[in-house]
Amino acid sequence: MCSHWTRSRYLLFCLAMVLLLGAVALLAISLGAVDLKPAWILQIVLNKLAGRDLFPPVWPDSAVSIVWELRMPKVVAAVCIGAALSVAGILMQALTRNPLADPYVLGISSGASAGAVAAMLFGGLPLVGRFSLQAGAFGGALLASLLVFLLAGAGRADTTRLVLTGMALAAVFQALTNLLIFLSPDSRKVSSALFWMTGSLGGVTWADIPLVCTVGLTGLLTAILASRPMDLLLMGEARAITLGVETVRLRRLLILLGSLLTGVMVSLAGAIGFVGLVVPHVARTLFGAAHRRLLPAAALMGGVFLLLADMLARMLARPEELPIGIVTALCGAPFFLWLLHKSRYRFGE
Amino acid sequence: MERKVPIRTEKLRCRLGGREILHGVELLGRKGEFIGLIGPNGCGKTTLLRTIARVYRPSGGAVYLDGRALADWDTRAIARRMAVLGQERGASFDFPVLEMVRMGRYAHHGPLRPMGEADDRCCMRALAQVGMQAFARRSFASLSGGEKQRVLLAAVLAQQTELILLDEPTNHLDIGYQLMLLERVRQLPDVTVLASLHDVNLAARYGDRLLAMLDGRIVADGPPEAVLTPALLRQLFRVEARVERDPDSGRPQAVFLRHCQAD
Repeated sequence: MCSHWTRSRYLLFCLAMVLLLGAVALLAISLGAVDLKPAWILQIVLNKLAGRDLFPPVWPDSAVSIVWELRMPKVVAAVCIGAALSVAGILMQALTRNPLADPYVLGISSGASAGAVAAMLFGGLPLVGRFSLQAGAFGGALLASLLVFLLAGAGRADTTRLVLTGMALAAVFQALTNLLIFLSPDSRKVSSALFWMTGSLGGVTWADIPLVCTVGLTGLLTAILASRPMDLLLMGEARAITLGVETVRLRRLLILLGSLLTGVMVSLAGAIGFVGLVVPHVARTLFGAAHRRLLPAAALMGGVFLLLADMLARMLARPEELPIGIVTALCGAPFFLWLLHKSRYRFGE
Repeated sequence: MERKVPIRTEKLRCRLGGREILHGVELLGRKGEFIGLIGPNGCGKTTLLRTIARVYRPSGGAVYLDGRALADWDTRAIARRMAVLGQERGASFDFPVLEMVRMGRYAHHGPLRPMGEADDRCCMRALAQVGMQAFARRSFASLSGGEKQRVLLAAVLAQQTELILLDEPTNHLDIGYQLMLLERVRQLPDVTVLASLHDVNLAARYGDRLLAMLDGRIVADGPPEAVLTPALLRQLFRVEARVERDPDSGRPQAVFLRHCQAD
């Protein structure tokens, strides 16, 4: 099967996704330990964005802080992280020509966790100052990417070898992360370990948002600019070269970009798994494998997916909040098994 | 000769997996020439084509494109000069047929410049040339082996290059499409073609010149009637053969009699 969406139909879909994103975001903000009226939320957010009272405040003061200070940053972060992880998944899949590649499955998220924990423990890195946590995560992600592609052979990696290499690397980096945490003076060791391994949006504040938004958008735009050579890379190394692609340079770009997106997102919310696997697959069945359309659509769908996952995480164990990674793993891991089971999987089929 | 030589190799060597596959190949392709590359399995035909296409890095010697060393060329500039139909079919992807052909236009556009109507016309014309225009919107993965091969040839035609390398282009094709493919490529004006072919009779029928390869070396180079001889066929393939002149084309054609042991 191969979809042939016209341009206008595609744009309409993207618009629909944006609207859906807004609606789900509204719902996500309204749900929680205290349920709030969606109308209030919209008015509070618009008041905040306008910087003055467009709507008379008929709601209790606590509602403002719950909406704007507590829930809103989490929603924005969920959208950013979902989009960024989906894009990172697509980059890894193009790099390996394998639809099962995903930052979490390949151990890159675990590498980022280890890097972030190490940066936290051994203090600030020089030059990067207040971004040392993110820089550490990026470094860890980059190291893990390089290792997995060197060991499994990027571009000609068969699924078994790729997945096994990723699994082993993930195990190593998770062990390192846990080792560092348990050697550290951290008083909440178990919850820290859980955070880095399964991911959670629990600690997100507004201060985190500018960086993840910038990195997410930059990553998406750069990937879109590279979408045509990425299509050609799916044809295999030899064909890509003879069609005119600098494959070595392109691979470097994909590794750097994938590690940056994964690293920064993991530094904020831990290793949330399987987003980069599920979302690109669904997007491909709708739009085909061509990256120019796949990337923006998958980014939007990734945002919606993680928002929904976040909502579920908060609903399932009310008033407790589950780590969001548990939800994405519960949907994603069976999906991964199903993909693995389908022996002759093709991009865009 | 004043004109620049489209393709030339000089003492070209290539090592793969620690083994030297090409031992100093000297090759020259003139403008508009169709060169048939023949030789037994494992003699280095594919490696030679892939080294010329810059997929493999030579371990010695050099390839010259238009008289300039290949190493000095930009990848995209090479792709505007040289198109390659390789043996790989790609496995884990699917694109619409037209999109597969459009990929041939990348060299002319690069990552950013949008493709225009002229490109689409060029791609549709290329599809029409291989008789696949009705399949433009079909999924590539759903095609048969022969249809895929024709679409990939259309991508090569859409690349609009002066040099075309074909690696066993007639694989997966029935005899009708084998002849169609070779005729289409032959008809291209002023295009130099270097094609490896299993079928020595096809090579002799379409080639202006034949290159015979054995153990990583060129062992014979000349017009088909000079190269396609019983002695050479015995040397290359260990077969007894009778070579006759086809009355229509005037080309030598071999009739194979029996396998014979190496002497």
